[in-house]
Amino acid sequence: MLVASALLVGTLSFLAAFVLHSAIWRWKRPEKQILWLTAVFLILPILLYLGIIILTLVERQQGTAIFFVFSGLWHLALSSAYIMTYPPIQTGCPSLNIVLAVNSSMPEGLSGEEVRRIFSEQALVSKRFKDLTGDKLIRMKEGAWGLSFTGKIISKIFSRYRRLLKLPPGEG
Amino acid sequence: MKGNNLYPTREYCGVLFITAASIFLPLLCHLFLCRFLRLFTRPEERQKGALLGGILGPVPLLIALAFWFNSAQTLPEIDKWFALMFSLGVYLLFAYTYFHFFNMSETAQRIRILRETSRAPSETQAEVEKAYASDRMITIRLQRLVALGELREKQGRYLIERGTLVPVARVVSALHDFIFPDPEGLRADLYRQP
Repeated sequence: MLVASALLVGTLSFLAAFVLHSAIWRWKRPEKQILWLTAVFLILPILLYLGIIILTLVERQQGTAIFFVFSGLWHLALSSAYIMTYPPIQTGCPSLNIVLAVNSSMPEGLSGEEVRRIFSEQALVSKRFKDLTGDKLIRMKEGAWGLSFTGKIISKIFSRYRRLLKLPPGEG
Repeated sequence: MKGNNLYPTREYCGVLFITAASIFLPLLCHLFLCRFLRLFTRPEERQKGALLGGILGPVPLLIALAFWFNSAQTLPEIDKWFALMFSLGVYLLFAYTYFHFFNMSETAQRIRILRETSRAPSETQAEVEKAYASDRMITIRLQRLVALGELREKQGRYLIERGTLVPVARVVSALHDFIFPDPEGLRADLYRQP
């Protein structure tokens, strides 16, 4: 039952990371949230798993090493899914909010104008801008807002990804 | 756990290798649809293309797992079935991750802000923000939701069609309330005050 146990351990390590993440956010919400998320869900657990795997391989415990590879991969899958879900959790997702608003207005539904009135003009963009400055992805330099080094990397990754798909940049 | 030569290391490594390789399947399938077949390139249907990429991925994965299942003779039967579940579970989670990555590239305002700022550094936050017409942002989202079949438009009004995103929206909202237990937070920002 190696795989079943590994799934359990991987799930428990993910839940432990989630509890730590919730505790940190409630104690003092960090500014660089994405960095903290990556550290709590990916960097620290992966270092821990890698350390255990290397130690067990050195001691020729193949079974234990394989067990932790299964657990680590499961943890990685759960964590990646959560991290990608985090942005809509953090700032709200306009599409999901539209769906909730239309659902609560059934059976009449909502007109386009009524949907637009749900959202504050400021919140749609200003909050995103604030999140980017908080995460240090954009910053003021020489009197103008520009990208930080990390911001440039992220922008390039998405730009190259869209070119790979032969699609124009997304409209946002 | 055994550490000797009789341990079915090769069988376990086989399913681990198949699982790790399957992580790239959503991207490869999506590339095939989008770049080579030139399908789902219109803005309102691009998310469908990414979804279909994730749906097609299990086909080669299941074929590989079937071969593995038949060849893994030394593993206990129950472990083989758990290994199948593990592999499919990892695939689904990474397919979900890939869909969100694509969705960010397509719909995320923050990614667009990064792109626009890299092209033309702006002197004020107002200049950055004025590039975004919120009306257009809402219109695009309504078009996408209709194209995905989540909403339908009838006589100028939007109605729930499939409703699969309703429980998703509720879960996201509940997670937000749990992680950010601040009633003055998101909702005050997001919704207009009466």
